[in-house]
This record gives sequence, C-alpha cells and structure tokens, in this order.
Amino acid sequence: MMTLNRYIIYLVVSFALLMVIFPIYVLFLIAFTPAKYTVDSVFPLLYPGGFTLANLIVAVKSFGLIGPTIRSVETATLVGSIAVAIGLPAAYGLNRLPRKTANTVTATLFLANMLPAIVIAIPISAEFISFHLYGSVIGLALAQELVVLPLTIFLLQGAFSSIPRDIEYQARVDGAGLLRTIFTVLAPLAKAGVAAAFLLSWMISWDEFTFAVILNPANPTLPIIIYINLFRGNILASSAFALILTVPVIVLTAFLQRYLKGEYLTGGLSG
Amino acid sequence: MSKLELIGLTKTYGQKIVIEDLSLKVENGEFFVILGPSGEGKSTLLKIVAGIEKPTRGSVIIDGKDVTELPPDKRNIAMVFQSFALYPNMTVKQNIEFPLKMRHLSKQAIEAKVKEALRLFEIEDLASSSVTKISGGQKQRVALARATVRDPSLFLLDEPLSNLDARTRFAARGELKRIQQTLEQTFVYVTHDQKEAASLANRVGVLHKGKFEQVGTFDELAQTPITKWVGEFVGEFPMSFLPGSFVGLDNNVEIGFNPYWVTEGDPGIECLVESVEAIGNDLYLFCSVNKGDKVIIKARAKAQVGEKTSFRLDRYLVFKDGVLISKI
Repeated sequence: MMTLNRYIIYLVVSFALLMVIFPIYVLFLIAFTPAKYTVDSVFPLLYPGGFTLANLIVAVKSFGLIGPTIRSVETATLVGSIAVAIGLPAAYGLNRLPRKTANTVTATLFLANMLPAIVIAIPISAEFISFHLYGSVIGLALAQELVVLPLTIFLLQGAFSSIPRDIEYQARVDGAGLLRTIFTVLAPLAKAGVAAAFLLSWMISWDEFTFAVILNPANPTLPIIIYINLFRGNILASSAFALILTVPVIVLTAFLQRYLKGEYLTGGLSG
Repeated sequence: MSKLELIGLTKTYGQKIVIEDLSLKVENGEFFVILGPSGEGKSTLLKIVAGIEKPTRGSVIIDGKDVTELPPDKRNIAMVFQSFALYPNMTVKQNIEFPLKMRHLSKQAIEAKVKEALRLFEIEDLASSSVTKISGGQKQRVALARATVRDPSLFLLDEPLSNLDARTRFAARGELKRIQQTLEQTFVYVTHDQKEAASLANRVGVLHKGKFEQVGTFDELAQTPITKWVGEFVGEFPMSFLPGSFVGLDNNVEIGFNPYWVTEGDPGIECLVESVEAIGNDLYLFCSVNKGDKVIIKARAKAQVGEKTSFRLDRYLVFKDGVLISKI
C-alpha cells in the first residue's frame, strides 16, 4: 500500500510539474526553432527540429523590441523603488500602532487589490490626463503602486517586527533622526524583507497588463507589445518577446527563493 | 544648576499609572541609582528621560534646558540598554563610530575618538569583529565604548549588568565605577540589584508605586528607611518587624530592626529557629516569634533548626502606619 501511495504522489507531482513546465518548453521551442517546424507547420513538432536565432533577430530588428523592453525595465524598477521608499516608513509606522489598529489599516490598504484593476484604471486615467501623467512611465508606475504597495507594506511589516525595539531606541539616542533610523539602521537589518519586497514589486509590475494597456497604450510595455503582436498574428515575434518577458522572472524567482521564507510572508500578522 | 531635573512627572497607560508626580534632582558628576523591584516603572522612567517615551505630565530638564518635547536624538544623552542593543550588521568599530557619524564629525576626529575608546575599554583586538561573534562581557564593553565615545550631558544605563554571568558582572561593576570616575560624568543607572546599588551609587532612589519612596545614600536607606516598605526592600536582608508591645510600646506601632542590631542571649525575646543561613563568616537565623512574626537575627554561635533561642534589641526603629516615627 505504501509504495502504491507513493507512486500516486509521484504521478500527481509529475503531472503538476508538466502543467507548469510544458508551456515554458513550448515557448522556448517556438522561439529557437525555425518557423517551418512550428508555427508554419500543420503538424508542429513537439521536439526541436532545428536551431535558429533568426526569430529573435527578426523580432528585435523589425518589431521594435528595444523600446518596450527599456520601458518595462524602467517602470518595474521605478515601481520597486517607490514601493520600498514608501513601504519602509509606512511599515515602520504600522508596527508602532497597536496591533489591532495596524491590522485594520493593512486590511484597508488591500481594498484597491480587491477591486478589479479595470474598475480603478478608468477613473485613474481620467485624473492622470489632467495631471499630465497619462501615457508616461511615472504615471504607470504610480498606478501599479496601488496593487504593489499594500503587499510591500505587509511584507516589510513582518520584517520589521522581528527587529528588537531597543536597536531603534539606541539609534535615536545615538543621534539618528526618525527617517535616518528607518533607512540606515532598521532597513539594513530587514534587508531580506526589503529585497523580497523590491523583487516582488518588480515582478508584479513587469507583467502587469490592465493598467499598462489603459494608461500607456501609445508607449507599450512588454506585455502590451506581446498582446499587440499576437493580435496581428505575429506569433514568432510574440514568442521572442515572451521569452524576454519570462527570463528575468525565472532568474528573479530563483533569486527570491531564499527570501521567500514563511517569516517574511506572515507580514504584520506574526507575533 | 542640576544636571538632570525631573518635575512632577506622571506617566499613565490608559487607566494604569506607572509614574506619579515624581520629582528628582541629580547633580553633576553624580552616580544616581534608581532601585526598585521589577514592574515598578524603572525602565519607563529612564525612557522618559531619554525621550523614548513621552510623559503624560511634567517636565524633564537637562543642563537647565527643558527637553520634554525634544526627541532622543536632540537631547545629547547616551544610553546603555540591558540587551546592549548593538547594531548586529556592523563591526565593533562601526558600532562605536555610529554616534559620531550621526553628529557629522570629521573623519580624523572620528578616527581619533574611536581609537581612544577602543583603548579605554581594552577592545582594540576586536575592532573589526562582528558584534554577533563576541562574548557577553565584550558586548558590554562595546556598548559602553559606544556610549562614552562622545561627550553626552548624561549617561543613562538600564540594568547593563543583568545579562552577564556572575563572574563577569563582578568585574564589570568595578569597571563601571572606574569609568564613571575617570570620565567625571553623570550616570543615572537603573537596577533591581541591591549589590549594584550599594557598590556603585552616590545616591539611590527607591522607586515604589510610581514615586521615589526614599532618596539617599545606600547606607541611609538600609539603616534608616523612612517607610516599612523601604525597610523590607533595601539591604541584604529585609528588616524584621514586631508589634510595639515587645519593647513596651503601644501595639499600634511596629518596631523594625536589621539582623545585626540584636544580641543573642537570655533574657530577651524568645523565638524558634526555622532555618539557618551562612554568609561568609556570619550565621543568620530565620526565626518565628509567637509562631506568627518572622524575624532574621545574626547568630552568635551555631544553632540548630527547631531550637529555641532569645535575643535583645540593641537598636530599633519605630514605625506607625508603615512610616518611620522614631529611632531608638
């Protein structure tokens, strides 16, 4: 019985893995195999029929890959930076509130996350036009902050709550002002949490679609350019772009693994 | 001008009163110890002086300047916490540099001062070690070095010895006194330890129910406690109390005495030995008088548990309603 149970578990795990890995495999297959074996074939091969970099080169040359990539990197980096810059003092403040109050505030912050993004995006774009933020990287980054910031604050709150209060008092007595204490003493001690918050924000922004398509249609980011090319039937270009979209996520996730421990994800609810 | 002056300090948390209408003056160069059992608001009081906690009412005056509304970083004080609160991501040297860097001293000045502090506390060898990898005694030195590296108006120490083992604590106590005398600085020191108070303090304030029950030298507190509570709390042994009738007084007064204010022998107050404790060369008997009242007396000779003995009072204090009324 034991062995049978074990085989069933292996089977289920293998199937789950296959579900996750297979689409990525297909993506790589289309990107690096000559089109005649894949998208131009009636019966596409499920193994590499050949190898070519031509798909990528064409995509870069004729479909304007550079612009959206740079824009996506800019937006994601801005989102991550703003999230940490605002999230740190916010998380600090919430940690100093009575736990009940803090939990209520954190829950309220997630309100924007509960609403469909499209519902929020429309009023935001109306406001942004009057602020001259519409169609700009900064504008998009600020809109994405709505989704990202509650998560960041939640994460950082957890990271802060594990630092003894005496350290903070000591820094104040030693002559550091409040902001200095937060950024030069507490943040380095919570660096795992800060790194996790930054990377998570970066990744959320990286593949964010709704805000990007509504707030910045003229200067598309990577997910938007993939969508546009798919719509036009440029499957090869889409898959090349999708590859560029995927690789950083895989690398960052691998990097993030060491930070994604329970203690950082319990947020302000721990202790 | 006093170094530190507290006027009418009150601190409440909701309904709970922690500090109540407390006033104090600490003079320049004084080693002042705040003594009290745990949970009497000693640390809270120190945090109010440091500016970490805000008093509900009253003011804190340092060097004649009202600092009640100032944050800790604007008060020019140094503090050593019970946990030492070393910055765990920094080396010993970086820890000591930190308060100087926060005050934007020149590089050369920082270098010179840190070097001096490392030498004073004999931790030169540890300069580049991580503070997470050093012993408790070394941590305490680093914390003190960091506190003394600049010239604060006032040093606040919150039970800085209680995290050390007994042997290190003994050495550290002596060192602390030496440092305070070398620096000629004012220390306000919180502890629940009688021995620390006795050996370190110029003056001791006994904190009880949010107020100083009595302020004076340790000897004064031990010899002439002005309330029964101080008598029971201060000193190596708590004071013993008996109804006034034992010395021919009214029964609405109590007499209090220290173990070494008695002479054992007949005729006197009879008591039953319940336990015996030897401290150094001295023998102390824990006895009961009339079955009810417990007293501690210094024994003349060996005694067995269950034996009867008697003692005479050479001196005693008279308390009425818990307050000292006369000395005999």
